Amino acid sequence: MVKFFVLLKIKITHKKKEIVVSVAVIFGALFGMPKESRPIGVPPIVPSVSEIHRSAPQHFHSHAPVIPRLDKMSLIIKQFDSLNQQLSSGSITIDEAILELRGGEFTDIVVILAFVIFCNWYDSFFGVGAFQANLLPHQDPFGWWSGKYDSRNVGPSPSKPTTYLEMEKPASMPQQQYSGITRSERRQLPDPLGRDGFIKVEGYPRLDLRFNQVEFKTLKHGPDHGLPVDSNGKTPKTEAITLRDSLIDMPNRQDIVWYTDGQYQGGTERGCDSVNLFDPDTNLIAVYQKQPDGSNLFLTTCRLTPLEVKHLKDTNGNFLPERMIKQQSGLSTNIKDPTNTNNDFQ
Amino acid sequence: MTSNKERHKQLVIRSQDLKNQGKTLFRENPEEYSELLDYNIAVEEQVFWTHRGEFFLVMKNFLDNIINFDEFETAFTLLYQKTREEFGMFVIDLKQIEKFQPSTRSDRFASFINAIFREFEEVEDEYCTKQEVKDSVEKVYLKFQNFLTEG
Repeated sequence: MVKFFVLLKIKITHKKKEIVVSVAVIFGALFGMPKESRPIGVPPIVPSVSEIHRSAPQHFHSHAPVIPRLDKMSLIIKQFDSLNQQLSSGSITIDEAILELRGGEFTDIVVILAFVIFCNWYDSFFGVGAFQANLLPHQDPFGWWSGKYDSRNVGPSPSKPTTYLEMEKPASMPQQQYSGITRSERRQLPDPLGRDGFIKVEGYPRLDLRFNQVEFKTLKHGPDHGLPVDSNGKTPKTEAITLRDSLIDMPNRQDIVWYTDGQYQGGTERGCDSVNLFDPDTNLIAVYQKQPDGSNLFLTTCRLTPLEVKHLKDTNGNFLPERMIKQQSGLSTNIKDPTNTNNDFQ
Repeated sequence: MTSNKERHKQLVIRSQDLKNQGKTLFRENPEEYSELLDYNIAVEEQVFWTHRGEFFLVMKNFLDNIINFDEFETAFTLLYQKTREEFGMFVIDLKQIEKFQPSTRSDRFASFINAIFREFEEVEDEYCTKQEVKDSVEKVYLKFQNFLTEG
C-alpha cells in the first residue's frame, strides 16, 4: 500500500501537485461551504400540516446497492494494491492507474482527491527532495478537460502506446544533480520504464537509443521513417516506440553504410564526433553521438538532401545540415545546360 | 559540370537496376553516384523553384505577422514535405528527366528552403531562436522576391 503511494508520488509533478491542491481547495469551498445563515428577523420555516402528516414511504428498492463505508474503504485499498503491483511490473503507467480509478468503481472524486492529497502529505512527511519531480507533461491531472482519462479509454490499446510520460529522474540520481543538467542531457538518461533500445552488430561499436531522445525526435523525423503524420505534418509522440524500432532495424537494411568515425556538424560550434548510419537507398541517416565514456547515444535522424549526401560522402561521414554547408563553403554544384536558353521554370 | 540528358537517364537506370538487385550505386560505383547526386541537386532545384510562389506566400505571411512562428512552421513543413515528395518521384521518372531543363536563375533556391527547414530543428534543439529563423526567412524573401514578380 505504502509502496503504491511512493510509486504514485514519483510520477506526480510539482506543478501537478499545485493544481491538484488548488482543485481540492475549490471543491472544498464548493461542497464544504457552510449553508448561508438565515437573516435576522426572518421567521424559521415551519413544515405545513400536510407535510407533518404525510405518511412515511412504504416502499424501499429491494436491490439498492448499500455498501458500508468500511467495505468501500477495503475495496479501495484492494484496488490500490492491485494498481501498485501493476505499476511495479511496468504493465501500466500512472496515467492508466488514474484511468482505472476514474473508470472503475471509484468514480467518486473524493477518492482520487484523497490519495493525491495523501501523496502531498507523504511528501512533506519525508521531506523535500524525497521524491523526484516532473513527469506528466500536462496540467490536467484528472484529464477532464483533455479527455485523456476518459473511461472509454480504459484498457490496453495497441494503437495508443503509453508514451505520454516525459523525462523522469533516475531514482539513484540526487535531485540537485538532476536539476543541474540541461534538458538535452536529461533526455539522454536511461528510461526507468525500460523503453531504451540498442544496436549491437558484430564488428561495429554498440549504439544506444535513449527513449526520451527518440521520443523528442519523433515529431519532426517520424515522417522520414515513413511513420504516420497528423494534420500539421508531424508524427505523434505516441509513435516513438515505432521510431525506436525503425532505428534499431536500420543496420539490417541493404547496403547500409557505417561511418564509425563520423561527425555531426563537424567544423561548426555545435560539431561533435559521432557514429553515423546512412542508408543510400533512402538517404536516411541516424546519428549517434560519441560520449566520453565510450558509448554512442542516439542524437538525431533525418532524410538528407542531395547536397547533404554529397557532403557526407565527400567528407567521409560528416553530416552537415544544408544551412551550414552554405555558410561554410558556398559549395556550388549547379549544373549548366549550354543548350538551354530559357532556364526559368514555370 | 555540363548537363547531359542521356547520361543523366543512364545513371538513373543504372541506379534503379542496382536497387532491384538489392545493391546501391553508392557502393558499386561511388563516382557515378556522385555524378547522379549532382543531377539530383539540379532536379531538386527545379522542383522547389516550381513551388516558389507558395513558399513566398507562406514566408510573406510570416514576415507580415499574419501568422505566428508555429503556424509558419506548420505551413512551411507541409509545403516542404509535399515538394520533397514530388522531388522523390521526379528523380526516378525518365519521362520527366527527358523534359528537364536545369535552372540558371533559381540561384540555389532549394538550398535556402532546405536551410530554413533545418532551422526548425535547431530551434527545437535550442541552438537557434525563432527570431533568427525569421531573420533567415527575411533574407531569403528579399533575395528572391524579384524572381517572383517576374513569374
